[in-house]
Amino acid sequence: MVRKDRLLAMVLVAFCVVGLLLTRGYPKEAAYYPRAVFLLIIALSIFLYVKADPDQMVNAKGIVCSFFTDRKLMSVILATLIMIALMNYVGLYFELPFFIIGVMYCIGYRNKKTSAIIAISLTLVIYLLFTVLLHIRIPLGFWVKIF
Amino acid sequence: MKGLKRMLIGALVLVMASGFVVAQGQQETKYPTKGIEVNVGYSAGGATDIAARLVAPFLEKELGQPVTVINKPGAGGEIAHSALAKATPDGYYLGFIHAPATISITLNRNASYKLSDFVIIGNVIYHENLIVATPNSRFKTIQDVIAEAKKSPKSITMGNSGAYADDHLASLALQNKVGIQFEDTMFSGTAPSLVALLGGHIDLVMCNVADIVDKVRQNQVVVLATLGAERNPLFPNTPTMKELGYDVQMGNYTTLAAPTGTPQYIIDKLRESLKKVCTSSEYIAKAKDMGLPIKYFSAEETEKIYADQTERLKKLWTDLKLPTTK
Amino acid sequence: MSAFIQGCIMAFAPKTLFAILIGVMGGVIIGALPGLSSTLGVALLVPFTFGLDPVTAMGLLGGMYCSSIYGGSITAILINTPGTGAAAATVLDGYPMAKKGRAGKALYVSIVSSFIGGTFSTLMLLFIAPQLAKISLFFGPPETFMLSLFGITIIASVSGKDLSKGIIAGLIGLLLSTIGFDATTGYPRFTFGNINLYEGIPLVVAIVAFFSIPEVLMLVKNGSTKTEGSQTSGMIASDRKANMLSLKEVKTLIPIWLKSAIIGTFIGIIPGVGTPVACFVSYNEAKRSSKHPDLFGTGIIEGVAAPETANNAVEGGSFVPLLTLGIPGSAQTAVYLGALMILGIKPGPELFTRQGSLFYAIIMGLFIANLVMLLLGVWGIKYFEKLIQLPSTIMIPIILVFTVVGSFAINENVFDVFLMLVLGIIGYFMRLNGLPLAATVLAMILGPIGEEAMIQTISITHGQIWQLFTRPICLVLLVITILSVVMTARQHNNEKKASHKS
Repeated sequence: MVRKDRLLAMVLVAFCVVGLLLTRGYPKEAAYYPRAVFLLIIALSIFLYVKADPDQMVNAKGIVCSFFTDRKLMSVILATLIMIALMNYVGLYFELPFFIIGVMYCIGYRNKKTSAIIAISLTLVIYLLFTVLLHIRIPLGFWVKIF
Repeated sequence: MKGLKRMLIGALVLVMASGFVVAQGQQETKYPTKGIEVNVGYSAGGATDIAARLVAPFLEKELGQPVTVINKPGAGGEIAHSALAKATPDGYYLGFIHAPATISITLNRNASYKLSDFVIIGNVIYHENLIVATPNSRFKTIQDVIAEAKKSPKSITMGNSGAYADDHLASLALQNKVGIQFEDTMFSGTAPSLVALLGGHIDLVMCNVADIVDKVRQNQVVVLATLGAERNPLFPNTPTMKELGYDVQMGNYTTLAAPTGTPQYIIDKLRESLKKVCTSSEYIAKAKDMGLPIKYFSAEETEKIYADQTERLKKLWTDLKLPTTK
Repeated sequence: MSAFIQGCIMAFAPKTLFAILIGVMGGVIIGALPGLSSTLGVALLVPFTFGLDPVTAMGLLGGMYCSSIYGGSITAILINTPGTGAAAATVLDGYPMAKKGRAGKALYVSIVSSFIGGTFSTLMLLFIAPQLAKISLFFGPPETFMLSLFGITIIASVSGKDLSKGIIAGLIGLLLSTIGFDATTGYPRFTFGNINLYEGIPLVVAIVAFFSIPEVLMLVKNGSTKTEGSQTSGMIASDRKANMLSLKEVKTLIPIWLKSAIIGTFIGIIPGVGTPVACFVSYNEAKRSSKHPDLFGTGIIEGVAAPETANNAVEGGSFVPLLTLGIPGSAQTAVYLGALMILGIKPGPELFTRQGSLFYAIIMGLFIANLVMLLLGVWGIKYFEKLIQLPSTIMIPIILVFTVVGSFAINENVFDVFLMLVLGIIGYFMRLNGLPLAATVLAMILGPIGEEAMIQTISITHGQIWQLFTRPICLVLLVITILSVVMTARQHNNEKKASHKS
């Protein structure tokens, strides 16, 4: 159990140390500015550590575990990641309806019919807006080779 | 009878096969059969983008298929060049490359492409670098600049459009050749450098013809010298550095290119079409109207130019010990 | 004078009016959608201007520019996600107002303020453009540096209660802004060899990532982020009368409108500074001069009026360097310049003298665009309001889809979407720890401007930075910065004392 702000301070300091190490190979003029900022953050983190509110205690391991075990949150993030990874391969318009239905299912919405309606209509709106109206080239994946 | 049937079938198959081969052959030499994409390494509204959008409709008319300009900005053009290098060399994906930018990227860092990844179709735009000052500047001629620079090195501020971008390289090449030192001030683009010049915050700016043609006309700036091979007809009274005894020639070339591996007949067709477009009177008139510095060089001429520029830049890199992040 | 009348006639041509209408309608949508910036909107319309005459083309683009800056505030207020960078400061009070059930009022204040700001700066453009242009030239690198320094101190006013966390959030923003090519050496910092990061994190990606993703993730986790008592449809019912401003409210807002409009116009004139800076500066000023500064951030109309007036005021100001000097003052006007060149028009001193009627026509077009935006915006409030009534299960996929496609649309690059997700998750954790993301975004905007200006200043003064203090504008800005810091510190102390007493 540690004070919440102290955990934050420790994470920040670790992050800055890594950052400073990264700047080792940089030419002098390019490195001044980021290094100065890293040092400032470390200084402020120390300040934060000291004045951390003792009434706000958290369990470090608990937080990390609860983040990864929060099914809803994890599934939404994972779904988005998968969608991004596959975008260039299967095409956005192909995966959008699946994505929408999947996300809605994961956050607890079980009404299949409405999910499907929303999925189709949202995909349609995106299509009309981005491809038809704005002429932005949305990835079409392997479908391009078929047409 | 069986034998005859077999022979007939065999002959039929042979005829069909040869017909197929002939048809394939005809298909092979028919180009283009669908739309062509041309990528530009900068965002919409920029100089290259405008040039591309000038050429595209004319090329479209000439080739008979839609020619679409695609903006792929990022990494100083590297993203677009990388995409061009990796594209399928079927003649339906082309792009614009530049001298010196495309070359200097490969010298400056571990680029994700090589110059040999591109086949040149033809050069479309060329404008030399030049040095401008305000009309009420203390420098009335380029000799004034050189004299003062020799007296007090690094005292004259010369604005450019970015670290190791073409303007900065031009300034470095000039300093190297003449043996003087400027204080190069980096800006993110030519527009901010011109604002600083007009506001009197810097002494000079190194930029290109197209950036200031209009401003010269409206007497906002004056051109002290150009870095071309010969005097620019737009500025008949402005000397070139070459005629003053310093052979520095730097300018911006915008060239249409295809990925290496594109079939020769497609390259030939594109070269021929581009030549027709760039020598047509409507194209020249439209470019004049838009104020674009078009200058067509054929593929062979352009290849020589790029080879020459590569040599000069490599020498500049070693002479001045410019950074190479490898 | 005749040029002026000619210009008006050209601007009121039916074709031009129609173009303006289309531009405004499109602008509201593009502005509202997170990921689509007003620059992108203007750029997307440029191909449509090819066959048009200059005045109609400018009307189309003007309508888009003007209303897309307003459009961003719609989503900023309703779902805590600024649709454009210009609305980044509107979330500070706009969203809390929506959470309290006063979304309609916030939207109303936003549209009226936007109209006032836009009209004010266009008036300035009309009457004193050449004089304003001179001011823009006075702003060199040292002045820009001092301005960005002042901008950074504003972080204090968006930090909420905990100043040290605000500063840390700001520093993180500065770090994120160092990713990419360094201005002096061209060295790619923190890019891990990925060429997509060479030019740094696109601002729009950062804004979408830091505002929408944490919001979505919190919706997923908690079901709803609205405060109690606002769910009842009775309170949200679009009571037109309740949304309109009472005389008392108008009286409180007048000084804010005036000051913010001036700030916005002024910042618009300075090339390279941009709309979000104007919003934060005017928000800061409104808070500083207010009788109840501690209420800022809880959802008050002053907090919405200030940034909204400023961001539309920037528009007129940014046209000053474009039309008088031929130099674009902002990203949007840079696209404008490209469009004008394609149309064969060369802005500069000559535009004013030789093609006066065109100059006036463009300006009249801007006036009309502002008016159309006002009418459309007010009419649309009753529909926008309904959006907030959607249950979170529908909002979540909608927001996710729009942020994904929107951040793709910026550069047509899938990497940007991935980057947005990663930054969004970081932002989620920052939010859980009380690190104000508005400070991070502000720092990401000002960081590059400030660093570049600093390097240029060192170059120009040949290392003798003390010369800064010989320049009048720098001194003025320095005084303003010091005053701002002192006054904010005092306010902060007063707040602390007040909360200790109670």
